[in-house]
Amino acid sequence: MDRQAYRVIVIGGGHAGVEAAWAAANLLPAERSASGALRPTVALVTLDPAKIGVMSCNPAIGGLAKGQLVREVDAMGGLMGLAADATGIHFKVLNTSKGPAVHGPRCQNDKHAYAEAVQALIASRPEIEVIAAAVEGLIFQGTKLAGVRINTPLGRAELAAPAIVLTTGTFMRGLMHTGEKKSAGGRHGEAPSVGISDELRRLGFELGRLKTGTPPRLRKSTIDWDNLPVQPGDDQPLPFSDLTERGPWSAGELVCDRFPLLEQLDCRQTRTTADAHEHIRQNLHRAPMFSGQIESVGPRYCPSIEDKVNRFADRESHGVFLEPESWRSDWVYCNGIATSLPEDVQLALVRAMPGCDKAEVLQYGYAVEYDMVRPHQIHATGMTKSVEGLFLAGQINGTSGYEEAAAQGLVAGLNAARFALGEEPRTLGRHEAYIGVLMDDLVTKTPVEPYRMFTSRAEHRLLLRADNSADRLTPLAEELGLLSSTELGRMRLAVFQQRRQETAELARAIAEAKLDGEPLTKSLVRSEFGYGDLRRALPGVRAARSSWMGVFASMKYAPYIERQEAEIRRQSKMERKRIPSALDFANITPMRKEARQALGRFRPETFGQAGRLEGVTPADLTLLAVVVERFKRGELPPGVPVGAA
Amino acid sequence: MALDDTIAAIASPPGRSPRAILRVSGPHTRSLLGSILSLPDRADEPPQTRCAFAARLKLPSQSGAALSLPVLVLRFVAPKSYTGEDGAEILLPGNPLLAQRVLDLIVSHDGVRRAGPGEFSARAYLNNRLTLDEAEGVSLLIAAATDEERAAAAKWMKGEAGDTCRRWGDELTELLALVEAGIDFTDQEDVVAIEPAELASRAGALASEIQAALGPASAATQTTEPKVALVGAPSAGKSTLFNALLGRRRAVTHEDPGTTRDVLAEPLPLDESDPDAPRILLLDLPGLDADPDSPSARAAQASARAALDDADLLLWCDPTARFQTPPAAGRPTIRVRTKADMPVAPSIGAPSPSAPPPDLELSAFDPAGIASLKALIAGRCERAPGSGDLAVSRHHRRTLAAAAGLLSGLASEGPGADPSVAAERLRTALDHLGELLGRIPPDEVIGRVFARFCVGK
Repeated sequence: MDRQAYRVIVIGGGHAGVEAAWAAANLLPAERSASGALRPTVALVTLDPAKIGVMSCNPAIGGLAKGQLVREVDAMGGLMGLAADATGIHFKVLNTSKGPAVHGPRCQNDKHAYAEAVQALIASRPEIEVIAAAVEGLIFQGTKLAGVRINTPLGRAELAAPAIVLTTGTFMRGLMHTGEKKSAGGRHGEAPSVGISDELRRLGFELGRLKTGTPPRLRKSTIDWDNLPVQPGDDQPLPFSDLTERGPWSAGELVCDRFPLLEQLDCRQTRTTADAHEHIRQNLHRAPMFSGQIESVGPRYCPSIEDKVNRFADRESHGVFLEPESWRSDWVYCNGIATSLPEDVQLALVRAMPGCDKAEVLQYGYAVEYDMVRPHQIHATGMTKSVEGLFLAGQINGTSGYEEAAAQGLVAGLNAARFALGEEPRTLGRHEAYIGVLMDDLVTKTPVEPYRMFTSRAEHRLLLRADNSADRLTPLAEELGLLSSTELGRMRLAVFQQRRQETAELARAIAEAKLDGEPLTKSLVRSEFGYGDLRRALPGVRAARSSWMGVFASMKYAPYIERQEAEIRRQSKMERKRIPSALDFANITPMRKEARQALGRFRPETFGQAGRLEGVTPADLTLLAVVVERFKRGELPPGVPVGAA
Repeated sequence: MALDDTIAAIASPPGRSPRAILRVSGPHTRSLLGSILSLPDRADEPPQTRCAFAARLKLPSQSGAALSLPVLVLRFVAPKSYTGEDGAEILLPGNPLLAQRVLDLIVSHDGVRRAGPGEFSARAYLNNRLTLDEAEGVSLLIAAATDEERAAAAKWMKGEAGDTCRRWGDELTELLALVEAGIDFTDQEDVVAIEPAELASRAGALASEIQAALGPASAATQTTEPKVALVGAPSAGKSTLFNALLGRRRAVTHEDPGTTRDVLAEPLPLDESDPDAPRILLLDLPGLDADPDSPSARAAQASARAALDDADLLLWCDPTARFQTPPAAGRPTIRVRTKADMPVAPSIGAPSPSAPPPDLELSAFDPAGIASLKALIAGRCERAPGSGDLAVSRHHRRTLAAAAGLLSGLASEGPGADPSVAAERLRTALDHLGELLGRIPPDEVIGRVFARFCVGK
């Protein structure tokens, strides 16, 4: 069979898949064939191209800790921030009453516009070819990964590439539940993917199963909308991307020439009632989460309404945010009542909410169970430890959330392209980005629930802020070649230069300024001195909001940042010191069994990772250092017990 | 566990030995020696070649006055050392508590840390200073040492002190969870951030509890050895008594007043025949002079005053037995009439009847008198078993004190404080406690939020 050849194949068109394809495309310019035509280097294989970039659950991007992830992906030339900016209908920075380190930019999007924007961005890249097909299996040449077998509407075919990024989302053996009803599928109305799960099992991967859920959607015109309390967005919306802030930008058919591009709208608030809670309690035996129909674990931070009613029995009401999903339809998302209760119970629950007594349910909530690969089997690049060239990103690694998926997609796409080019892998450190925290957590911890980012997971939180994501990551992205190959990337570099100039000038202005006879730098570190005070202290100075905030926060946290940076320097050698992958930890017999087992399971790549494993002590690391050194000197052939000499 | 910073440890076997040995290895050896040693010949810097030299080690005390210890330093230069790195061994008088204090001083130096088990040998091996067979031995040794440590830690955790620390850890985790809830879950209807006032008061209460449990010995530089200072006017015979108590000629003595210009410190077992007898740190101070006549005399007075303030017990020496102006009011003091073998000069006259009688009259040349003085000191130094005693190592004492310091800092914050900074402090304090309890990971903190609040829109 003739194989169409690519450098990277991405399987799945969700938020991980598109980011992976986008990042790989940035490193792999389209090749000119003998006939002079441009040949794509990246294949994006998905069951239904019309579903690329679809928001399966909440039509929102960002939030606490997630907003930082989006800003980071954007700073590295990713697409999520651009698509979100171009389609946001309700922008709000969360946590503004807290310090700038924990501000979380968030927006709600027109979900149809969002998916279209993502599709337009993908279509704008000659490097990417979208292929509508189901993946049936992987192709190996000897032991080497060589491509995928696909089934298309036109028949079976094979695609060849040295690197493959697998982003299956909730589709691997996806099983949806609404009450007693079960149906196979990864998303409402869409079929599951079955073959790939068996293929991974055959390859020896340890799979797990997780669960997530989504709430019912209502028809807006059947809600007493105007009489419910308003939830407005920010008066002055802040975009995710500095590119949008300084705009305009465009990519193919997507043009973002002002901000916000779409008309903004308000959300409304309602609540569940005690009667409805009682009704849920009486029907718990019909709830898949309680009847035993669902055994896999769901996220604690996103419990279903039946779970909330059961665990917090004394609560008579839970808040529900009614979020319009699009200007083009009157679908409303009910944020707060994710559920897999039977339809009749859902209807009763909805109709009991103030303002919703006549509400029409357009789509009932459901839970979905899906297969995932336990992430100790991947490197921090997303590449699997046992199959070279095979990368995993997104929910397949046990995470949840569009932003977490996008972050992994970026890392996997970047490294898949580097692998295809024969270049060394590049990971991000915990001190460099939330993306680094995410990848490191995945490879050093055993997830007990779908993983979601929280700012408290980052030990260098004061350093990893939304306001300095460009300073942290854009130079790195440039160095890695993610920016210079495209028009958008080059614009981003120009915008970053502007930012640099502005922040330098701002820092100088602050250093020279006085407030009430006191140097401004001194006033600034006082806890009561806020961002508004800084703007008022320097009325004549002009700069972008993101520049102001970046300078304000870095000065505010300066003493803490210095301490964190010293700690980072202290740790850096551990993080860089590598452990050979061929080392057999089981044979380090003088080491405690618990440590040997942890090392054997996770197979850490660096001493830094090894030190973060549960069950590994500093003394174990000392011993490991001796063993690694002996191994490198060839004094320790693999398979010979260390203590047996 | 880095392999190229500087490590330090006590290298002599635990327990009493005539000399304690502190071993240092790594690139900061040079700057470390430069900062902690003073050299007899006023050289600028300790020698940087392989050699042995005598020096004095400046050991700061709580009050800031430095004690000056005589030490012998063996200097090693890379690659000719046990580890193959720059290094030194510092030989001290063989008092384990003193050795601990010096180690504390050394690891407070920038870039220097306490060595983990087997680390010197690990480095020696990595620098080709050990053979393969020796390295095998080291591996086994590390494993054994680790097991021993773990057993000791497990035993400690089961005890009362373990319970206390766990309770603190629990409260600290709770506080952090409440602060984190107000950061990471503010988009949740049900989550209410902890009030700054409540945070301040609970952090303050926890800080006080930890400090109280650590007792007055919680300060990092303080030792459990009581400090006993010889004080009195110039020419009161303090240095002579100092030498007599030590049983050797340690201080220069002369009949000229003001001979002693420096504070000398020597560890002294109060009963040589009993290895469990209490030990003290005996300090010889320059004579107290209300009107010093030169800058050097003024400096000597300042250091004497500082050492006096730092002392736990004063031996007030007065050959006239008049004991007129107490050197420090309200401090535990033993009044010693010195030079009891000599008559009081007639010009001074007899002590007034209202003068307090001496606790002891003695001649430095009378062994029986010296033995009585030692017994008297031992009696006064016996510490009441206070509630403040938490059985933890010095290192853990220090980490607990650091945690308490962070908490009390938090307690004094204003209401406008940034919760992410408060969380940073609580996290650091929790990591300190984690050295005793085992690290408490962010997941556990987040878990508390889920347990307490209805999270999830």
